[in-house]
Amino acid sequence: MTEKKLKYLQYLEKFTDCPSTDFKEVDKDAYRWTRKPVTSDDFIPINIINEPPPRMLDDTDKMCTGYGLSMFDSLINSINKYQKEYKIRRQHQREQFIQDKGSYIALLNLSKNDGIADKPNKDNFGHFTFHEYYHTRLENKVLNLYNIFLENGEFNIQ
Amino acid sequence: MENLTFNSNKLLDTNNFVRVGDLSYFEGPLLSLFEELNSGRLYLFDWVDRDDKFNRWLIYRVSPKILLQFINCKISHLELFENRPDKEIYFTDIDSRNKLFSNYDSHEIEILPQNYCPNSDNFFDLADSKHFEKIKSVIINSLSRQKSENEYSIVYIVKVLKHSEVKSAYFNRIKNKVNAISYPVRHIKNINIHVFSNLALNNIKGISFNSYSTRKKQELQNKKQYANQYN
Repeated sequence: MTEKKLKYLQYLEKFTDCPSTDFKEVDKDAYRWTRKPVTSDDFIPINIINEPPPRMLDDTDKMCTGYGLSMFDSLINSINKYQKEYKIRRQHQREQFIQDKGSYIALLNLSKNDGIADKPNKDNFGHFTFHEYYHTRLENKVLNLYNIFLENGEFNIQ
Repeated sequence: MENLTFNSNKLLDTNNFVRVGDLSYFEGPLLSLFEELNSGRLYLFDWVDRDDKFNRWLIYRVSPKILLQFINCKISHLELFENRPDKEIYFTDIDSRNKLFSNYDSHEIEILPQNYCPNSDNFFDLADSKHFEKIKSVIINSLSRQKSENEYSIVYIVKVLKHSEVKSAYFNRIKNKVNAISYPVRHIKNINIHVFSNLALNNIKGISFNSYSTRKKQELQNKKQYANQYN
């Protein structure tokens, strides 16, 4: 049987109640922004990535959720959130956003052996955070890959 | 990341900045509101650029009135930026060590790159905000304090009579602090006048205090009397 130890436990242990008891094992589809081809680099939590460094102004930004992965409960929600984040940024930041987040959406089937998730936030495009178990390799669980942009540069939101 | 032209001698002291909340947040702050403790002035940290080593933030002052319009979605991020009360714009580059923001120098930008201006179609969205109630409360408090300062912003003069070397200081008096020096705004001789800050005037021995206009009238009368002696 696979050991259900969380990935990045050495960081999670620095927080109290991390992840919180709201996080449960799930068996469902999930959508995550990725590059193409999808690699393990597409599943690194924001606080683990050093280049570019995570945006922090003080210690309150060093949050438990920064060691989890952002995911969405539906394809349309994930595209809409991407579009929103893209548009609020300045032009040069939009290019950086594509570099950092990719321009594809991976469909994953999360199973109870993969990790734990909180409930999708209906007020935030069905966003939820997923904490992987130590042995999970989500890049191997991609079922499909959707292009966020059409060939003409418009968002693919039909 | 853009190469900036800045004056290394013009630094913004952020040691007294207190973070109020984030007007925009996704996987980290994007637009954060700060209050300067001494002055009560409001500043924004506006994430504007990054490379592999640093995140760059613009820092600029905002008026509570304009900020209230922004959080009520009446004006865009660009309008908020363009209507800042001080023309100065500072920046700070925070590296991957991510120490407290005040540990990094904040320099005044001499020429702001055009692409650092916010978007004209970017409006506040409550769903992106963190600690919104606190933000709103600080803005409203700041507005009422500003109103009070405007109504009672008479420049007073304190003349210290006890020590011949100490002359006078000008300051604003705030309604809620009647008979108190809120903060000196200009010194003629600033010897030890700081120690009087926020003390009731009645408790400071050896000083007299009059409004600036009264003081000027008195000086004029004294001059006339002096001149009349020789008429």
